[in-house]
Amino acid sequence: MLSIATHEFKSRLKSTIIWGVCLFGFSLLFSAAHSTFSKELPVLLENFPQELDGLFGEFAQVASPEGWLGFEYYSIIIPLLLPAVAISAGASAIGDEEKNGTLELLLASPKSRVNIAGQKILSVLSQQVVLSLVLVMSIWIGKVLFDFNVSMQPVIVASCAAGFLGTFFGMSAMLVQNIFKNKSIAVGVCSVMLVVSYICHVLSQIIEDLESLKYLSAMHYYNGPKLLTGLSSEEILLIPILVITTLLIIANLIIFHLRDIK
Amino acid sequence: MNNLPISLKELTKSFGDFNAVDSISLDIQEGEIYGFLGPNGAGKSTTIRAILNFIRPTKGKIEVFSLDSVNNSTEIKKHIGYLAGSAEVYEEMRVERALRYFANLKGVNCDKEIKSLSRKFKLDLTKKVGDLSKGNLQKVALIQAFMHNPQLLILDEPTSGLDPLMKEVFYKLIKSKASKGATIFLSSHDLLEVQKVCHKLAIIKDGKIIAVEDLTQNSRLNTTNYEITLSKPIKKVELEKVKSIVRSRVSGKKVTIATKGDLTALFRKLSKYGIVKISEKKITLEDLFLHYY
Repeated sequence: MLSIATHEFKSRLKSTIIWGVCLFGFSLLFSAAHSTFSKELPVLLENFPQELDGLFGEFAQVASPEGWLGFEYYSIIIPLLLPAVAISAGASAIGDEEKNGTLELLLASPKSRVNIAGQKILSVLSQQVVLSLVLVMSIWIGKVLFDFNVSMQPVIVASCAAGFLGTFFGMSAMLVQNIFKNKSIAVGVCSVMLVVSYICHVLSQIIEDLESLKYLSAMHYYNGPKLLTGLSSEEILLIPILVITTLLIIANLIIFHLRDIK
Repeated sequence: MNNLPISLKELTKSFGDFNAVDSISLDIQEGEIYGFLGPNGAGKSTTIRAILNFIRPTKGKIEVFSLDSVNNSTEIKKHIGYLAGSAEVYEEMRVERALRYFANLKGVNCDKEIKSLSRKFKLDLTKKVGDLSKGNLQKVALIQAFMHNPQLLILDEPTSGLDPLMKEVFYKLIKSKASKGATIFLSSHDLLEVQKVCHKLAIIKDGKIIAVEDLTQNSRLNTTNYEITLSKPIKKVELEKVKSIVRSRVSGKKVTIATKGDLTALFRKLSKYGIVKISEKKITLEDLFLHYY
């Protein structure tokens, strides 16, 4: 029933495992490093310029385990890594089949185009779910191994937000591929989107006059570090990402249903 | 299922200003092996892709088993086996796994047919698709098209890459399927192949059908062509009297003729001019197009 999604997920299994191992390593590194640096952190805190918060996250919160994760890990590494993986998966989901000529075999089967595209979308979503789970699990293992007394609930919420952010970029890449029928263009356009989004987010935090740029940045709606530290209970900020991602999924289904396969 | 397996009505497919297929109409009957002949870029694959709803017609209508090809595409494909022009299969898979995956997509268990067809085509199911030669890859693509015993087979250049022995296996297979009621629509640029297996033939050039021939009847294509060198020049008017000559061209001592039927009278006539050399000439697509224009 879900043979296309299963096949797609299996074909991406190696890369999912590699990225999972990377995330696992990062999580353990951050968990272990907190216990090592926790004594020196108050001193660092006094000398850290507040303006750099925009670049690395909320340094004021760094003494707490949640703040430590929000600083750099959930403010730079995760919101760049998960979307990067999703962009590759989203652009390849139909793009690889189209490029390799195997898409015709799928289309010649008695499955509707909506079904085929839906299963491809499901495979991209599954990869993000797996990586978000690895993220949560690895931090939990770090907590157990390294006396890293982090509260797991905000970690779960922030990891879900990262998964949503990744899915948003994955669906964007799939849509660009669907429109231009070209995987490379999809990867290029969405990578630029990701970098611009990050730059807008940073600029909006360090330059007061550019604060309104934050609304153009997907990172602003992801809001991972603040979800971790509980500085704001702004899960509501995720709504625009979820709504746009849903619209992107619908657009992907419609465009794939209507377009010519050359 | 009843009704015409394929019916094209004024089908046009344009890409920008270019008409890849220009107002073509075709009716293909049940149990027919229908050849679709034309040079590269004539519009064969575009027509096939439109029938399978990979691309939408710009104008006109396509019906498969009396169902609209766009609105009933999923239902139609339950009854179709398709071989793409460039056979591509997932390189990372073993042959058997790839074929089972396709069977799964079609929603049927084809294990028996896979085994039987792979024996017919002498294909090793345990090999990795990426390690196969072009010919063997074509066999995988053929098996996936035939394995669910579809009522309609749409085959784009089916013998591309096959050796002569395997071509014969393929010809036998489609004849046997047709005798059991399946309809086969195959595109080719090989006239001899089409003549050998097809009941009917449509010739397409520049997106337009320029001729439809019934090959089971006395077709104009069922002629034998000779190039003959004589020791003395002959006048064309001399040849026009010979009944078995369909067409002739004379250039001094060289005669090019298309013949049909008993050749005794022809060779009696030519022997008076001294026959130096006779060679049989195959009809090329070019000859065919010249013939039809």
